[in-house]
Amino acid sequence: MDMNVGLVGLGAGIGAGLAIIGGGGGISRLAAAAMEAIARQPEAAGDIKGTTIITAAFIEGVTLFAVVVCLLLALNTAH
Amino acid sequence: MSLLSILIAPLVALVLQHAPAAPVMPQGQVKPPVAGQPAAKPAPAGPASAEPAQEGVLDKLQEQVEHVEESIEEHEPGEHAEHGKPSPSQIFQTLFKHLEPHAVAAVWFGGSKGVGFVKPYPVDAAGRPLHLEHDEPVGFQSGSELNRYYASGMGGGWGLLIYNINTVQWMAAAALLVVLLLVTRSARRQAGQAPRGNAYHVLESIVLYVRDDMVYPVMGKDVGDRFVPLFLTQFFFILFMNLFGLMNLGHYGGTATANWAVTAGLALTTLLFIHVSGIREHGFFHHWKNFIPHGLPVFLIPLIILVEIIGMLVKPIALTIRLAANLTAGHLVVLSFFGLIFLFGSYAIGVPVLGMSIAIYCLELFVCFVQAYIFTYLSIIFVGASVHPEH
Repeated sequence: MDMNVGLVGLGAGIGAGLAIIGGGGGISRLAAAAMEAIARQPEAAGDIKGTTIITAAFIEGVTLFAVVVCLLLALNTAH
Repeated sequence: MSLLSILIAPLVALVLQHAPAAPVMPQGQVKPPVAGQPAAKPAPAGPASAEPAQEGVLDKLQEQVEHVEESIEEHEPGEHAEHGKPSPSQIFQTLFKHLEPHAVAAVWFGGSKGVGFVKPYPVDAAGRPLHLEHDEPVGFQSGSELNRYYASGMGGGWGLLIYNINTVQWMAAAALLVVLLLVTRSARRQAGQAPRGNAYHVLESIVLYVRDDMVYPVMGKDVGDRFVPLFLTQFFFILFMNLFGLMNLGHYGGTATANWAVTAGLALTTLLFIHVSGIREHGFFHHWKNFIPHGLPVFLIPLIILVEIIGMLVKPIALTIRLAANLTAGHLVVLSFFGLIFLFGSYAIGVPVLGMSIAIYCLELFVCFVQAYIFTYLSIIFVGASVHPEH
């Protein structure tokens, strides 16, 4: 019983960490592309900034789906 | 229709919040911290054990008391022995309870008194609340508990629990009406001149942004003009609920949008807008036929229908979870930083914790605006796709 509870906690923690690898990597690539695009064409900076924010929020939304699953695991098991 | 959206979302939330077990509710058993005796203090060696028969029981107890007193004096408040310290999971489960909705009032219908307010927590014979937590009474955990408690005393009838998420939604709706009506009324009174006043300018910049940079690019000017009030209402409603979650409104406050029932209510209103606007635009049957693109081989149509129906259902679910998870995550991080104070058990950790909490709080403020923007922008895209299918 203790082993199972510990494994659930471990799974939740590792899951959250893996989720942030994907989310952080994706948003970093987005930011890099945005910087490059603004450097190439400074007058499009406003458009690019708006698109960057929206796309970053989408990626973060997907990451948070995984975080919600991990929270469900971690907080709904009897410690 | 925009006023209808203010009414529909809280009603749907009222229905959904009575579903069992919201996702981020800790259900685990919280063990009370082990108090009292110090764990495994070794038996006093030396003179006491050498002459057990001669020293009476009282002397042995006296020595134990002195040992305990010495141990208390040795340790500073920050580094006490292991016995009194709560475990990390206990700390965080206790802190995260602040994110759960709690009942603030209860309405009883029927019974001997007709309609009236009843106490949302059980009381003992003297009228004092039975369960207290931090001097606040702990209310009923569900509507059925309320009904079971009061049905016999009131001679039948049925009760409804009002939670803090309900009151926050009403406060946000009231703030919407008050702010928008007051600001636009003062602007209209200065007809003929350029409007002045800081509140007007702030509101105007946001309203123009929603209209010119969110609705018009997606829907075009003529179609967009019909939907601008709708999305303005949705944007400001979500924004005010998010911002109220950052303020301390006492017992009646909380983050309404951090609760999946509230955001599901908002997402279901978006789903309603998608279908109602599509049906009003194209007629009932043609709206459903628009789900299938033209020029498709006939044998693919069942598959496409299945995929489109799944897509139609997944979009509001994604809206729900995105908004709820973003708002909850910020609060969880701030609460976790506060938990560090209890984990270390010292006062010195308070200063860096305060700094980190303020930094995350500023990030949360930014997230409030961005999430309201994202929710509204996605609603605009979905409604635009239903009004103008680009197949």
